Amino acid sequence: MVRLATRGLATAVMLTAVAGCKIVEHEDQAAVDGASSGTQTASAGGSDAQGFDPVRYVDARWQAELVPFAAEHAADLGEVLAALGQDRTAAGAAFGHREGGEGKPWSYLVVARGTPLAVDRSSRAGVMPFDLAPEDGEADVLLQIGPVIRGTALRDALPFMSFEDVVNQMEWAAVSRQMHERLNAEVLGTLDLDALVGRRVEVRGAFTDPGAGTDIAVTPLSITPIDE
Amino acid sequence: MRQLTAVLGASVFAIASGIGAMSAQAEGLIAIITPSHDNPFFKAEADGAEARAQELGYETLVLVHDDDANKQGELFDTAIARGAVAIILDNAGADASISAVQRAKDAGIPSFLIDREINATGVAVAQIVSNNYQGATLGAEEFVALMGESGNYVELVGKESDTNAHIRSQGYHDIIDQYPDLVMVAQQSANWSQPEAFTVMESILQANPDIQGVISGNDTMAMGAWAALEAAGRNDVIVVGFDGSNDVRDSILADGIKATVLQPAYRIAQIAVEQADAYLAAGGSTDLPEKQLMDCVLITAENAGQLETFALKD
Repeated sequence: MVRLATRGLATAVMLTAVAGCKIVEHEDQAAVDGASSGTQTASAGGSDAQGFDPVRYVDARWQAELVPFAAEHAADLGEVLAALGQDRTAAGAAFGHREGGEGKPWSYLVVARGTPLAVDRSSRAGVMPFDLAPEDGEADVLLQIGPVIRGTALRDALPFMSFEDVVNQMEWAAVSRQMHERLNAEVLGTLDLDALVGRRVEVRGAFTDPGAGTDIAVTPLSITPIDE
Repeated sequence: MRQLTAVLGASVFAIASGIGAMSAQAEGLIAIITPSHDNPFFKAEADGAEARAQELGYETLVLVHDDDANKQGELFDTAIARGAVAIILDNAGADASISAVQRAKDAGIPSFLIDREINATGVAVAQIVSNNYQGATLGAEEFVALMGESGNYVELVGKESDTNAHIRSQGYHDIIDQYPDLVMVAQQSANWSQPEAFTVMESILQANPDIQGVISGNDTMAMGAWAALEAAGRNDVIVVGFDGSNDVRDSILADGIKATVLQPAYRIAQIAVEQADAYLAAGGSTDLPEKQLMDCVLITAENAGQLETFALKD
């Protein structure tokens, strides 16, 4: 029990020490300057002492970096699936992104054409089974349609978002939460998903490798009907 | 075996001190210092580090500080006197340990910390700890699925003064609070204690008979809660813990507690040794960041059979 108590205190103070030493990206400097007096404040519960603003962090990157990056660097989902079928590690090295080594799964930014087969809202983490072109009537992956979006794939697939940008896991989680809020508000909330069932669409999004034998769930950044 | 190791270590030291060289080399003595092995978590760390170090051709010196910073300081002096090439440490105090690690650094011995950090950077080469937040989100996702996204539940929180108690609770709530049909009817600390969790669970159950699940900040509290639930004939309640202990593994395999989250203590200790080896081979440098979080792993009936003393066998 003493071990855990010391660790707790250690973590709390250590987080503060790290916060004081944090290298802040220039876009975030205004947020930090505004929030902190420049001195380290002791933070008892591991809570954020720097006033990190996940909304500002995400907003600064969404249009300026995320959208163009997804437009240019998304890998073809069919190719990625084929590579995963051969060798999951090689697929990651070829198409994926991850921060941190051992034990961390790869995340992939992908683009795909295909047909949603249904809208499944049996869970609050709603999904649309997605049949990749050329369609064979069987779902190849799931598209996450919210309101609960599982995982952190979109954040984790982007090389310009890094855990090094924040102080601790809570802030890092807040970044993903904010991205999901934008997706729900600007993408999933604006689409008539039922109307997309049976229609050919182009999906751009991200997924994290769940391991062999588990359905891949893509967090969509965009779902666009293709008129053909 | 350890006797032999000590003798060899002394011989190596004698030769090394004669030459007066502290060069980067693939062999040498690695000191492994942790809290008492009475706790299987720490024994797992020591075993993991020792095994990996010996595989890589090092001699090893395994020591316990019993959470006493003074004793830890003496052990560091021993390691320095013995000409250790690296120290693997699960430390005895985030402030109290800094001077010992610094002393080793000044003597040219790099330290690789595991399990918990010290309140300083630039002193140890690495601080490798479990990702408690990530682990908590794994446990919470499984809990939500098992609960069918609805029902009344109880949260048992760890010791209030321990930041990990808060980190895990936050991870739980960041997931569970997205499901409004999951209602927390009670939240109470049982201070990481199994007997305390038993008592707390008993009284919560009396006040709230209509509960479907319990999510616990660690495995010992989960064990206490499960015992109280079983005693009350409530084997239907879904319980999820955190740590990956053998006790909870056994409960999972007997369809008691439903899941836990493994802190990969054995593997983290091995990684620390591997990083020490790479550091030495590179002539005393590393590209890796000092602070490293290692992901936790969800344990359910599917993989519980592969879990042994904080390590998942393939």
